Amino acid sequence: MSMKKLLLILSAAIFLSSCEKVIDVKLKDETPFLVVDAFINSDTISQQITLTYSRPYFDQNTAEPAVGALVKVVSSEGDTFHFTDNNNSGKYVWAQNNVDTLCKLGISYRLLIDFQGSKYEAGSQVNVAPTIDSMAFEPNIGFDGQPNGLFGQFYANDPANQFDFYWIKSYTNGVNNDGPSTINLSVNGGQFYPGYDGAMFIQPVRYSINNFQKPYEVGDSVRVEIYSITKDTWQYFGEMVDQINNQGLFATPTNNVRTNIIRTAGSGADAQGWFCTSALSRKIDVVK
Amino acid sequence: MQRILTTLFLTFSFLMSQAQDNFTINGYIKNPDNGEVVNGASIMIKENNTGTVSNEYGFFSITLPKGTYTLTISFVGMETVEQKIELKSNTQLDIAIKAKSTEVDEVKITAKRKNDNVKKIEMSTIQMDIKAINKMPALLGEPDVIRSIQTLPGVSTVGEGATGFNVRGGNIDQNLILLDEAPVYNSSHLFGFFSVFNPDAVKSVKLIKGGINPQYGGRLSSVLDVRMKEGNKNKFTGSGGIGVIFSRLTLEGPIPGTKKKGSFIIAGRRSYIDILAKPFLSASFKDSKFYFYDLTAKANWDINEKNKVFLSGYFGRDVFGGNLFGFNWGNSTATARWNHLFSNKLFMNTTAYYSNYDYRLDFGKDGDADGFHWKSNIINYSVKPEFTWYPNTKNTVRFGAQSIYYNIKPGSATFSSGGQSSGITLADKYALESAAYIENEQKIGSRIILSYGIRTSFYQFLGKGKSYSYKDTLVGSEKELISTTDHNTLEIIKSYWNPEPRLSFKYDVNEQSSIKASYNRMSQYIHLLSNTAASTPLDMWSISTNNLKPQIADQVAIGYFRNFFNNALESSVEVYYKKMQNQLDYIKNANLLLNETYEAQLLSGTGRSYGAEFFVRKSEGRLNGWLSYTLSRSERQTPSINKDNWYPTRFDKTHYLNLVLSYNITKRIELGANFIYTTGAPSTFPNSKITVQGINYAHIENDARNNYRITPYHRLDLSLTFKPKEKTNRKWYGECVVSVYNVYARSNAFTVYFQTDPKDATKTQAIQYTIISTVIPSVSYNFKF
Repeated sequence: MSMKKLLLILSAAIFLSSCEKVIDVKLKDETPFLVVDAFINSDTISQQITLTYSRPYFDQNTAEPAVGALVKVVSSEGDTFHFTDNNNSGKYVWAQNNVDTLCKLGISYRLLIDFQGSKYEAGSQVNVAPTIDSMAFEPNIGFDGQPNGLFGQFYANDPANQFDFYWIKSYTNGVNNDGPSTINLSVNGGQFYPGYDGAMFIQPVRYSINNFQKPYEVGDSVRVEIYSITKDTWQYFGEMVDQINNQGLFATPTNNVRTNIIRTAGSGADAQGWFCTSALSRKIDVVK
Repeated sequence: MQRILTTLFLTFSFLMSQAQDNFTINGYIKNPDNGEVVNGASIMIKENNTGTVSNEYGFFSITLPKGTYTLTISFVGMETVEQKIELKSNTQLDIAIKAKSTEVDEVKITAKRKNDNVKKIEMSTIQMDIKAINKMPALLGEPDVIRSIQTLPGVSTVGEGATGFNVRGGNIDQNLILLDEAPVYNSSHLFGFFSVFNPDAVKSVKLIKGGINPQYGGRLSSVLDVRMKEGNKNKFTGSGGIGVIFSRLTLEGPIPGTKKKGSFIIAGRRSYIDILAKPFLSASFKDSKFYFYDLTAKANWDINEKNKVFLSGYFGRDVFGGNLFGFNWGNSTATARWNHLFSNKLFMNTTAYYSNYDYRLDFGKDGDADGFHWKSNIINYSVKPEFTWYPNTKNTVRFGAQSIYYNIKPGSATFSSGGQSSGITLADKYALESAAYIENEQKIGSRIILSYGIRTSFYQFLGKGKSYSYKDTLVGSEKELISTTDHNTLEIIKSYWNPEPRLSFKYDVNEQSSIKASYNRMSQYIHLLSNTAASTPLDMWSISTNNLKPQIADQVAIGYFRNFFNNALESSVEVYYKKMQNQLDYIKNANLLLNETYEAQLLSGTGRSYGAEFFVRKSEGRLNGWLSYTLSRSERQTPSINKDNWYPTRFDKTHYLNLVLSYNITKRIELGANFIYTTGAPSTFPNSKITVQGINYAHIENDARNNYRITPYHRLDLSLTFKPKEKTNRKWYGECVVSVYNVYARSNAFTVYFQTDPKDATKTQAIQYTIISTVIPSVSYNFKF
């Protein structure tokens, strides 16, 4: 529960007559540009980097794939990982093998893209993701406005004396619990930067594994994942959260979200998107 | 500087040497009905067409050669009084002017109305009569000072329900809001729907947007000077109201045993919207509480002819919360004032005040295994002696000084998780802001008044505490901390000083019209860090530091003032240009709360605003009210925003029109109407959609800021006031007000935002957010006894 969300709930409670409606707005289109979606992690499955084009804001079609690029990731240890798009879908895949390990703890990586005569580059590093100790499910423990039912929390401890940034995802029977505008982030197990350090994840973060519209039911299979992210990535998501949840009395000026994809050669358009390497910590439990 | 001082000294020596066969009339202008002094009343000498204005404490002093004179005393809403006086020695004279009894009968009065707005030197200034404020149709039937101010030219707001107001392109923190001389940091209750001023206890409201006198300083854009009533000196009375949202009660009267030399007033309000709303709230909000209360009190005592003391205080709080969280905030101020007459020509007021604004936020209750508690304060103490010297009829000299000591507690928070607690407390910050000023208002011939003065402000950022040095990184991203330095108690970490010249000029074209011009430089050492459309009650105030420079504004204004129909209709046109330095903006996704190094996230830019303001007012008669129209532009230029180009501010409103009318249908029924039209607020709209990790977000071409405008805002409010039959010696006076807010149910946009449809991740949409989209009728009952 961010401060902003809290204020939003309050203003909704006070301004009983406030309302929201979908309106028609004419927006100016801009020339499409390359969008890089490169989130890779230490999981033991194949890793994928997706390249697409941007589209007009109200366009409902799936993004057009950007094909024909050369995509590779190079580690600070000198290993090169080639990502290939074998079916021209814009999805560039590195197939898992038993020899190489991608996203090793403490190692930094560079993403290199060669696309239509321009070169793009981005860097990232792999930080620690703490072990998830346990999960617990209890009835009606949450915040005002929730339906009755079981709500879950996970327990983990943040390593002390260092800054750790996390992205927390959860799945109920394989379905992601987060809506299209929810990104659960944590700094040192807390919510403020710098704030908190080296202790058990705080309550609001522990509760971030719920779909607050749909409580858990006995027998549900729950998967919780903590992805370690860089400070940069945390800021990228922070700017994104700011932008995509910018409603109400306390809206902030809408800004572009940062990108770490830098054009290093060629005269192509600047790209948007992000490259992040994560360590992954995962736990699966069944609601009893 | 030396030269200026020498010139000033010579001028005053000259003024000193002038008095020969002259005598002084001095005294107070008073309302005999309640014994209250009348400030801002004009005192004209018929014989030689000179005059003066009673000061904030109702005091006046005029020095004239021996002779017989006719004094004409007038004030809006009061009967004009003429008094003959034979001046052959220094004379002490208190003059009584009565409030007009029934407004309906005023049409019959044919006596010449006064042309104060034309004659006075002050421009860009509007004195609001509390009676006029009470007549306006109001949201939920509750008249409100700040909402009334928003109907004046040059004053805008970011939207309905938003805290504060914006004057001539200035931020909300650039208004010096004074309640009996003590600053109020958050002027709002229930966000921005009501202000902290209880109209029953308010005597006068004056808004100064330009040509600001040197006695005021510390904010760039305006001064809102709210003065409380002193309390009825003659008899014990009460007043109050019962409304839909809150009830008010005010008691006032003479202090027993002071022989009508002392009086008091005490006024309280408490909202009960949460109790009334309960049946309509969904189950999830059943435990919600949201209410506010405030208490305003004042006592004064005329010790003798030469000394008067006043004590006043305000305490108010807003409380919001649910079963698991809560937050509350409020101001408290205490003011002590001493009026002293050194001579019949030298008046002094010394004010000492304490002001505290604080807020706290809680998740969980104290002692719970899991929780978060946070509180923050801004405290200041100030002393300001102010002198008014009336050497002769041609000159009025004001001089004085002020010192404000700031103690800011930016925040202390405790987190607990699973029974383990940790805390973070940001160190207190201290500063001393001092100023000295002098000004002379000089009449040159019968047509020109010139006012020239200077305020010099001196600011010290003090220890004990830390200061931080940052390295400039890429503009627009967080600055990198290089070093931290510890400082001892009262050590001067950084100081600034700013000379602030103030000039005003008035030329009477004829009896009905005048031309006025002014220039002022203002500086501001305290800043509200707010990045949201409407400021939140949790926004942090920061004093100037080694990294955060004072804000500075220069403003010029020129105006033409003209009265029509025997002064029944007053009108003015003013144009202004204001340039502002060191205006704050923020990096993307700035986190200013509980962040020791928040300065690393601030951007500094330049602001400019210009416009033309038109104002027509009819204060008396069966139909009265005002029409104001502002054509303006308010822009900022901040490195890294909008590709370094100028962009309009959120409160830039090209057109801003307000019509406020009140009409006496019969002696007992009064109709009030208020219409507002403004250009839609600037807003940033996206161009492209980007999808990463299944999340859609927007891209804005060229990093534009405020590249679109939301739809125009307009609204009509109406009210009907039913008064009882005219009856003398009535013990109880009650009136009923029926009001309708937003008569034609206009759904005005507050913001338009863009999101992914929560039900369909492939769809992105634009959503208009409206605060009030329906008609809001209400009934309230006001009484006096």
